Amino acid sequence: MIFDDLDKCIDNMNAIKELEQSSDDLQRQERIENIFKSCISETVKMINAIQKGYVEFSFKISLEQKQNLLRLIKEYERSMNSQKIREDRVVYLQRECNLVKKEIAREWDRWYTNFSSSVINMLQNVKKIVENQDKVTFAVNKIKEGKNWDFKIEVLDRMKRGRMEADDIIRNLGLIKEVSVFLEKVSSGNATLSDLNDKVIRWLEEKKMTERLAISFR
Amino acid sequence: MNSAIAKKRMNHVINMDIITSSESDFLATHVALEKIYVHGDRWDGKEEAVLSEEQVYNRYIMNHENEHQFLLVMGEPGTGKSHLIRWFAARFRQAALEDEVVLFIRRNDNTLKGTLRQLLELPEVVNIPNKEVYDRLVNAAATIDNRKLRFKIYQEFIVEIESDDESEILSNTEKRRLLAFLQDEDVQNRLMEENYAIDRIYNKVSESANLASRDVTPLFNANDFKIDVDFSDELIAHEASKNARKMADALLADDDFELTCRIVQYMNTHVDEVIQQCAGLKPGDLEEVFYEIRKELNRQGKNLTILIEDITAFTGINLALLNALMARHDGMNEKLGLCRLRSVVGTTIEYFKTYFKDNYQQRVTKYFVIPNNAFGETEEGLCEFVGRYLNVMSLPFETVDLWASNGANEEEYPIHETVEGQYWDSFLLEDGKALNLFPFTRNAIRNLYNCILENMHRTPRFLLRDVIERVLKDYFMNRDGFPGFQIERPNLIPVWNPNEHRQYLRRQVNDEEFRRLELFIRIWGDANVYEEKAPDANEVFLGGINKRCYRDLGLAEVDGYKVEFRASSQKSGTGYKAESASKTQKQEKIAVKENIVGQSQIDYQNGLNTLDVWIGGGTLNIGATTKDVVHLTKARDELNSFLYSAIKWQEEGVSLDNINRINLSYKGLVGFERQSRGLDKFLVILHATHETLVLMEAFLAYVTLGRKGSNEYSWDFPNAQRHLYNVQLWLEKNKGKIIYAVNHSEDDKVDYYEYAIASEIIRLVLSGNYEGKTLDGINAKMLLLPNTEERADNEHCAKWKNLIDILKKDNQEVQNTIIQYFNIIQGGMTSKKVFLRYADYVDAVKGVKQKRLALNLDKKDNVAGRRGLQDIWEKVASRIEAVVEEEEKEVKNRMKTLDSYISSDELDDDMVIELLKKTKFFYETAEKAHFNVQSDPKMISDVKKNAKGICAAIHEAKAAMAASDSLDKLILFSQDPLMRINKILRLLEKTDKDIKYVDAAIPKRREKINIADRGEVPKYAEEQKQIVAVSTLVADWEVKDDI
Repeated sequence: MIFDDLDKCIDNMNAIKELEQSSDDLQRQERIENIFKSCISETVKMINAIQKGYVEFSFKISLEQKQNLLRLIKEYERSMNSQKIREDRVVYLQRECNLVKKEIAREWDRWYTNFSSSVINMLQNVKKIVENQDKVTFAVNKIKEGKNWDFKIEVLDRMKRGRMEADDIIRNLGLIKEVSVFLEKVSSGNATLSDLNDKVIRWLEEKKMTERLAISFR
Repeated sequence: MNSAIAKKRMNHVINMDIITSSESDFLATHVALEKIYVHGDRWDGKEEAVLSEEQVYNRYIMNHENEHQFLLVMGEPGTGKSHLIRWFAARFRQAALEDEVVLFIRRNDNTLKGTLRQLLELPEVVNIPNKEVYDRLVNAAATIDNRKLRFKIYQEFIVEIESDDESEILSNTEKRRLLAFLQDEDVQNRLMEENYAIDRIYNKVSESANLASRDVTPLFNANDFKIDVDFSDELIAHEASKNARKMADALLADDDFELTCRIVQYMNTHVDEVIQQCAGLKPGDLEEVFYEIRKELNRQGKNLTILIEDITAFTGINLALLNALMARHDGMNEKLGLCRLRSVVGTTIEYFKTYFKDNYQQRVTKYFVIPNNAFGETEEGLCEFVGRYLNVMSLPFETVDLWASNGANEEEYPIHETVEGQYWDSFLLEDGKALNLFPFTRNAIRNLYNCILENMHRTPRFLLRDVIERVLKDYFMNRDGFPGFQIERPNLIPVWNPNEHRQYLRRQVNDEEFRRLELFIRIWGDANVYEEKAPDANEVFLGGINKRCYRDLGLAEVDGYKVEFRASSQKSGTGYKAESASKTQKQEKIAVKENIVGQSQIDYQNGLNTLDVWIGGGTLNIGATTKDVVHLTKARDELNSFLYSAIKWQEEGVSLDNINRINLSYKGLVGFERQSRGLDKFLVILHATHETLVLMEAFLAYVTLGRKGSNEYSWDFPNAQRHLYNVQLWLEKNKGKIIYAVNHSEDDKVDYYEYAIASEIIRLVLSGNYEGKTLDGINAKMLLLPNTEERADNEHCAKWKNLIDILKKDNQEVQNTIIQYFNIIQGGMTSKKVFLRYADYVDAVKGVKQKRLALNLDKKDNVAGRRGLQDIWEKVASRIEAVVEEEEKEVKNRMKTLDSYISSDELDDDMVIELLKKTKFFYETAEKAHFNVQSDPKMISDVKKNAKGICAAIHEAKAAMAASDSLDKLILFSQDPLMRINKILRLLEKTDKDIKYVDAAIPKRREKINIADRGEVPKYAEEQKQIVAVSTLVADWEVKDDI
C-alpha cells in the first residue's frame, strides 16, 4: 500500500544519505592525510639531499635553517601523533616546509657560487692546454648542474663527478706545485705579481699562456 | 338517313378521290362554290371579281371566244381545287361539245406516262404519225419495284451532284461534303424513309403510289437535313467518312438554317433532272407528242381541252408541260398547225411560287383562287355540304346514276327516304327539298366543325374525313355508345350554361350515360338541360333538342329544368313541323362562329370532366401540370389550405406543433384515392364518392370561376353559396376523421413529444446538470431550463461524450418540440413568450418517467416531422446501455487501481490529508537525498482542495456500480465521480512511480559508497620512521659560519 511504500522509501533515502555523508567525510580525511604525508616525504627528501651535500660537498646550512628544520620535524611528529589531522594544519605545515626549502635553496646558491667559480675558472684557464678540451667542457657542465639545485640527489652525484673529472684534468696536467698554486689563485681572483716566479713564468711561456694573463690593480 | 344503304355507300361517297369514284356521286354531292376570286395579271393582287363556280364556268371556262387559254385554279390543299376542276370536267361532258376533245387528267393518274397514255388513247389520235413509237415509249419503261425506284432516285441525285461543276449555291468543299454525306448509308436510309424527300419524289414518280401520298410537294425541305446529336453520334459510331461527319457537324451547328436552306435549294435544282431520269422519259418527249396530237386534232378540225386536277404531280417535267400547255395555236405558232388548247390546271400556291417563274406567270390567262373558307363561311354552306353527302350515301347508286345521266338537274335532285331521323334537322334546298341531317343537328355540324378542325384544316376534305366520316362510323359501329368519339379541341365544345345543369344531369344517370348525354347536349344541343314543351304540340325539348331525338339514339330519359318554351331559341328536332317548311323559306345565312366562352368556364368544365372520369373509376392525374388537372390541383391545394385554417385545432385537442409537422411532411391533409401520384403524401385519402365530388366541385369552382388574379380566388361567383354550404356540410361530417388521423398514426395515439422529453432527460443527465440520484428527482421544470452546456472538463468515457455530441446536434429540435407541442398559440406564432399547457406537460413528463424512458420504438409514424423525434430517441436509447457499460468499466478499472494503492473503503478526508503529508515528506526527503524526483504542487493542491469530493466520488462510483438499472447507473455516474477519483489517482500513480524510481536508484548509489577498512595499521608508521631518521641527521649537522 502506498503508505507503507512511502515510509519504506523515506527510510531508505535517509539511510543512503547518511552513508554517503560518511563516505564523503572519510575520503576527505584521506585526502588531507595524503597531503600531509607528501609534505613529510618532501621534507625528508630535502633533508636527505642536504645531507648528501653536506657529506660530499661540505655544504652547510645556517643555524637558523637548521633550527627551522628541526622545528618543522617536531611539528610533523606532533601532528602524526594526533588522531586526525585537520586540513588547516596540513596547509600550515606545507607552507612552513616551503619556506624552509626556499631559505635553504638560497643558502645553497650562495655556497655553490663559491664552490663552482674557482673550479670552473681553473678549468677554463687550463682548457687550452689540456689534451681533450671536451673533457673540460663535460666536467664544467656537470658542475654547472648544481646551480639551481632543487634538492635532487642525482644532481649532487653529477656535480661530484664533475669535480672529480676536474681534479683529474688538473692532475694530469702535471703541474708543479708553484704553478698549481698560482693557477688556483688566478682562478679565485687572488693571484698577484708576487705569486709569479721563474718556474711559473717559465711554465707560462712554455704553455704560451703569457698573453692570456692580465695585470690589473685591485 | 338510311343506314342500310349508307353503311355500304359511305366509303365510296366520301372518298371522292379514288379512281373508281363515280361521277354521279360527285355531282350529287357537289356543293357549289360561291366565292372564287378571279385574278388577271397577278394572283396575289386585287381580284377582278368574286364569282360563283357557275359564273366562272360560263364566263371563262366555256371560252366562247375560242381563244387559247391557260387557266390556273389555285388554293391551299383541300380547299376544293380538284373538286372544282372535276366539276368543270363533268360540265364539259354534259355539254358534250362535238368539236371539243376533253381530257381530264385525274390526280391518281398524274404522271407523265399516264398523261401521255391518256392522250394517246384518245380516239381522235389513233392516226397520229409515229403513234406506235410513242406507244412503245410510254409502255416500254418497265415498272420498277418500289425499293429499286427509290434507290434509283437517290442514286440519280448523287450522279447529278457528282457531275455538277457549276453550282453557285454551294462551294466545292460543301458539295464534296454533301456528296459524302449523301453517300453515307445512314443518311441514305433516313432520306428514303417515309415522309422524307425521296419518298415524296418517289410518290410523284411512281405509278403505284396511292392518292394520299400524291398530294405532297416532291421537293426537299429543311426537315430532310435536320440533324440531331443522336444521328451525329450514329454516324461516328458507324464510322462515316470524314467529309460526311463534317457535313453532319455543320448541319448540327446550323442554328439559323443558312446552310440547310442552301442545301435544300441546291438539291431541288436537281429534282427535275432526277425525275426525268427515273421516269425514263424526257421533257422533249411530252412536247413532241403534244404537238403531234394537236396537229392531228387541228387537222380534224377539233380543239383540245385539258383539265389537270393537280399539276404538282408533274414534277420533273413541269416546265416542259407548261411549255406545251402554254404554246398558242396562233400568232408565231400559226404555221405549226396546232389546234386551239384550253388548259385548266389545279395547283397549290406553294408549287406555283416555286415553279411558275415570271415568264410563265405572264402567260396565265386567268387565276381562279379558292379561299380557305370558301365553303365553310356560313352555317348554311356547312349544312348543305353535310346534307348532300348524307343524302347521297343514303341513296342507291342507281338512283344517283340515273339522275346524273339525265343531266343532273337540280330540280330533279333525288332525296332519300328518311328511315332514321324523321324529326331531326334538315337543310332546305332552294326548291324546298329537305336534306335530312341525321345523325347531325345544325348545332352539331357547326360545333364539330369548330372543335375538331383547326383553321388550316377547315376544308371540304377534312370536313368529310374528320367530321362526317368519324361521326357516321361512330354511329354505325358504336350505336349504343354514340356519340363516343374523341374531340380534338375539347375546350371549344360549348360549356354548360348554366354550370349547375351539368350536375343536375349528372345526378340522374350513370357515368357512361352521362358521358354520352353530356357530349350530345353540348355539341348537338344548347349545353343546358332546360326542358321546354312546345305549346303547339306535344313535343318536349331538352337542351334545345327534341326528346324524340334522344330516344332515337337510345339515350337515357332524364328530366330537365322545366321552363317556358322559348320560341326564339333554335331548336333541333323540329322535324315534326316538316310539312310546314316552305319551299320559299329562306334560310338565314349565319356565319360560322366559334363559341367564345370564358376561360374560367372552360377550366371549370374541363375540371368537372376530369372528376367524372375519376368518379367513374379512372385515375386522377392530380399534381401534374397539364391543363386538364392543373385547376384540380389548385382546388385540392385550396381545400387543404381551407382545412388547415377552418378547423380549430387547439380546441379539438390537437397541438399546433403536430399540425405544423404534418404540414411540413405532407403535401396536404387530404388526397384522393386513385390519384396517380403522391398518394403517400396525404394524411387522409378521400374516396371517389359523390360526397367528395361535391366537395371538389366547390373548390374547383373557387379556383376557376372565383379566380381574381394569379393565385387569388374568391367565393364571389354565381351560386357560390351553394358550394360553400356543401363545403361546410362536408367539413362537419368529416372533421372528426381528419382530427383522428392527425392525432393518430396507425391507430396509435401520437406521442412523439415523449421521445423529445426522454431525449432531454438523458441530455440533462449526461451533461451533469442534474445532481439528483434518481430519475424521480427530475421534474418538468428542469427540462425547460436554458440550454446549459455540459461541463467541458469532464472525464467521462468516450461513448458518454459521443452520446452528448449526438444529443447536441438535435438539441434544438428536441427542445423546440417540447415547448411547441405544449405551447398554447395565441395570435401570432412567433412570440418570444410561450404559454404552456403546463398540466399536460407535467403529466407527459411524469408519464415518460413512469415508463422509465422505455418508450415504444416500433411505432411507424408516417409523418416525417414526428418520426424524426422517434429516430432521435432511438439513436439515444440504443446507446445508453453501451455508455453505461463503458463508463462502469472505466470506473471499475480506476477503482481497482485506486485500491491497489489505498483501500478505497477506508479512504476518508483525514486519510487523504495524511496521504498528502506523507507524499510531501517523501519528496522533501528525496530532494535532500538528491534523488531526481519532483513533486507536482498543483496535483497535490488539487487533491487537497477536493478531498471531500474525492471521497464522495468513491461512494458515488460504488453506488453506481451497485445499481442494477442502466438508467440509475447513468444518473449516478452523471456527476462524474471518475473525474474526482482521477485526481487522487493521478497523484498516487505519480508518487508510486517516483517511489519505484528511488528504490531503483538506491542500490546503485550504495555501490558507489567506499568506506575502506584500515584494519590495525597505524596511519603514519613509515613517516614516523623517516622523520626520526632525518631528525637525527639534521641534529648532527654543523652549521655554516655566518660571515
